[in-house]
Amino acid sequence: MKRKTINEKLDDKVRLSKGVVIDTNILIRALIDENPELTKIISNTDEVHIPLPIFFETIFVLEKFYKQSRKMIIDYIFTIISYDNVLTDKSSLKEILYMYERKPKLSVADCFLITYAKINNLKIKTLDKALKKDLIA
Amino acid sequence: MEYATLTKQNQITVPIKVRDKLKLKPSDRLVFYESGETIKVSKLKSLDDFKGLLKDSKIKLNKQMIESAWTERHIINEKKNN
Repeated sequence: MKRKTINEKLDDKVRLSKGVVIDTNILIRALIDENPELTKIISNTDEVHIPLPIFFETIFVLEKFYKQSRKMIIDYIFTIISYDNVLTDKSSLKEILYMYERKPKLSVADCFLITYAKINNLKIKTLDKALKKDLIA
Repeated sequence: MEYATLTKQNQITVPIKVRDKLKLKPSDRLVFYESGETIKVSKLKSLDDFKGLLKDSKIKLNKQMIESAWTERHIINEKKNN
């Protein structure tokens, strides 16, 4: 009997489990591969969890290494979260992305901080000049 | 700019110019998103639209690269603020 590869074993687990949590490399490789793992996972799994830090990491990598525009990144993430079985804090993420599009001087982490402060009615304490400037404006 | 009227059922007919511009066909999904004080509308893409978008990139992704993206952000911030 042919031994299964690690990926095949993982695929079996995906088929058996109702939920998975996705790593950053799956989100990046979906933009590189012709037959991406992400599409298979979303089509075959009931619950595809993507925690917010994974989206932030994806954004950093797409900006820094792949030099992608904010528009492309936002389009991509909006597309991922449009699938009903993709589970994350969609409402906060949308707020963060709207701000990320509007404020090119702020990083996605800054946008997250502002959104978090707004939702929880908190003041922001930071040493970041760009962020401070934005908070005053 | 195009116009449409909202019905009692909260529905509108997408103006033909918008339909053509966005290349819409029946059962396509639309995405409405905030942009300042207005809402923009576009055709919702599928993951297939992004497939292989970066396939010509010479970059081989690895864990160190992913981690360094975080570190670099911190270093840039520190430089900017000192």
